[in-house]
Amino acid sequence: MAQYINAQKINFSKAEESRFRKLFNQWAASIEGYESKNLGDVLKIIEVYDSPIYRGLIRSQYDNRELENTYKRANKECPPRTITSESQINRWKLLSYPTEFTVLKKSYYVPGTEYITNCPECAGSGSVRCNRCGGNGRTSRKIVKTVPCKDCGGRGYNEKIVTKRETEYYYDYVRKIRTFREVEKPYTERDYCVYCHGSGQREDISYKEESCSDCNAKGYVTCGKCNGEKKMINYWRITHNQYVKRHTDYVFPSMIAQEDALKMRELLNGTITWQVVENIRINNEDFNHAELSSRPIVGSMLAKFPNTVEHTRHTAICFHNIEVSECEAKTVIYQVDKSQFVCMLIGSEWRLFTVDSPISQRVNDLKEQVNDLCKRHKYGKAWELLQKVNKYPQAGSAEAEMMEQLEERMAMATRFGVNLAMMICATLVAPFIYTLFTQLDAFAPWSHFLMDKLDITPGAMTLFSFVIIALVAMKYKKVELNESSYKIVSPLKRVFKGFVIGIKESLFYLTVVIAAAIVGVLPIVCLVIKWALTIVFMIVAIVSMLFKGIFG
Amino acid sequence: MSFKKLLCCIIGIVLLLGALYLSYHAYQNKQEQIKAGHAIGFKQTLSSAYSAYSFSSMKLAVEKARPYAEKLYQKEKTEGKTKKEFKGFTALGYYIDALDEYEDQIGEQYKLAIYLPVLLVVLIIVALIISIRFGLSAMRPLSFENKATVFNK
Ligand SMILES: [Zn+2]
Ligand SMILES: [Zn+2]
Ligand SMILES: [Zn+2]
Repeated sequence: MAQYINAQKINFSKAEESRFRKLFNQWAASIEGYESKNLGDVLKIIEVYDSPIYRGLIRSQYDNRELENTYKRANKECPPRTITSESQINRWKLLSYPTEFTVLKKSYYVPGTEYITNCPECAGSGSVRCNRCGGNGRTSRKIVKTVPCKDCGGRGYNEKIVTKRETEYYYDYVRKIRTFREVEKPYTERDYCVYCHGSGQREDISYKEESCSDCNAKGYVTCGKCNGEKKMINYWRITHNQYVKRHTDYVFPSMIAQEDALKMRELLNGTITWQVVENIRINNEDFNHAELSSRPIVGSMLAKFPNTVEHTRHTAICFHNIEVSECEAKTVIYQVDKSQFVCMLIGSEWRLFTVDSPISQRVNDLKEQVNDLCKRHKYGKAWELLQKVNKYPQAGSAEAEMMEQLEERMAMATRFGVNLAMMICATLVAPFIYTLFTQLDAFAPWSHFLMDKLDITPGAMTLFSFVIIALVAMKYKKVELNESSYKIVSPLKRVFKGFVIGIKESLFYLTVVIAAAIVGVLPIVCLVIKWALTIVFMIVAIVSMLFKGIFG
Repeated sequence: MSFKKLLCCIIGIVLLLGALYLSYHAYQNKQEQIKAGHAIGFKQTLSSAYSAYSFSSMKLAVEKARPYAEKLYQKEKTEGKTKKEFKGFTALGYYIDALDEYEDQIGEQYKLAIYLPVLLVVLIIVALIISIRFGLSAMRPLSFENKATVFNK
């Protein structure tokens, strides 16, 4: 029995220790966002274990045998028939079992089952009915000819004469005036032919009878199965299919948690060198072998292997092979700033696997701080901190989503600033606009005309102007903002930035509104809004009346 | 996309130039009218418009409009169209009707003094609603689902 080690405490030599520290420095330096790059120099090694990883490769040899009743050409003499029914055949005694791993599929005839009989296809007549002509010796050929359409004479359309009523102007010599009368005039109209779809041509299909070329008009052909020999050999055939199934299992040192072991498996699938420790052969299906089950590594691997091996019909399991390989690994427990961490060095090339580390601790700490800041509604600071987290390679979709959410909330302050500025601007500018609309008679002539016609006063126009501006202000979303306007840590600065944007936007929209009023667009807009409001009020009134009718 | 933007720009510029030309024309007209003594100065009307925000001017406007509003109310009452008292929203409705009906008698200035504070109140309410909405959104808790995203490397 081989030597299995779970974890054995050892000590690093001077050279090994410096190699370990160098490796750790390299790893820390490779992680972007981590500040202390000389992690390998500052860590304190607490314990080192020799803790190899074991891999169990279980291979199972399967043997499948299928029987089949079939025919073959009677081109040789037949040995005497000794077996007359399937029950007389023992498939398991016919062929030997594999002793080595074999992947092979081959068919054999079962001796003693051969006997000469009539061909099943032609019942011993040697010929069968011709497939092509169905036995009557004649076939018909389809002939397609293009002929002019007989429904339209090849024109594609038919003409018809219709009469249309029309107004005709004429000079009435009696009344001496120019006047009109209704007359009926004939017109020719084209009706496109539906039979040829307007093409004027149609396909003429005819069938020509001729003698069948397959059977020379005889109606029967030589039987393909027996080649016209009338007799065939009936026999049993056995198909021997031998194949191998594999199952891989790992045993990790007991100090590694289950979920870390799962992550390590990905690493182990790479270019790790394995050394075979043990090779155990188990014959037949005996998996609950007491001696094997109590073995250290092998036993735990067998425990994970399914107890009952899945069995298809006519399949036997010949033997199993358990090959245990070892990969040298060291578990290092080290300390940084009073916290202990675990890492593994896998293979002779020392591939580093960190179970936990100051870096993961740092990231988790940062995330904890982000959570704390969010709890206190300090979204700007949380966002700033999360950017540090995102520099680490471990950051994933959860972090990206958090970033998105934080930015959305930060943008709220900017949006608030924008809307506030718009409200204040509107309040401050309202009298000015009113004065402009009433006192300074700057409207275009048609603008005046429209206002008179549509019964819109300058006062109403002022009010509507602000309804329009307010609607524009309400529409502000994060996507409508510039990134630099909300990616600011201080919430006050964000509101201020939004305020500045709001003033700019207000001035722009005010200019547009004034220009629109002067050029005569605004009265029309006002009218549309007025109508819309009227319709809304009417709907509200109707609905309230209905409610009264139902519940009142 | 860029073509659409260009088109918008061109339309905007044409609109603005037209507006500028017309306002310049109107300004000159106004100046002539002021010189001839047919109109009040632009500055004066502007300052009176801004003073519409002051509480005293609103009070004054309400005083000015009251007889007209009451007149309308009495008229409807004698006709039997209303049974409500001249109070609150009912009164406000009559004020608005009076401002429409007796526009010339009450005068633009007083009309503005009633309308502008109303506009101001509406804007303040809208601003309040927006702030409350944003505030409520910002109060929703936000955090990493602790266990699921803790790193192990
Ligand atoms: Zn036709
Ligand atoms: Zn045939
Ligand atoms: Zn045959």
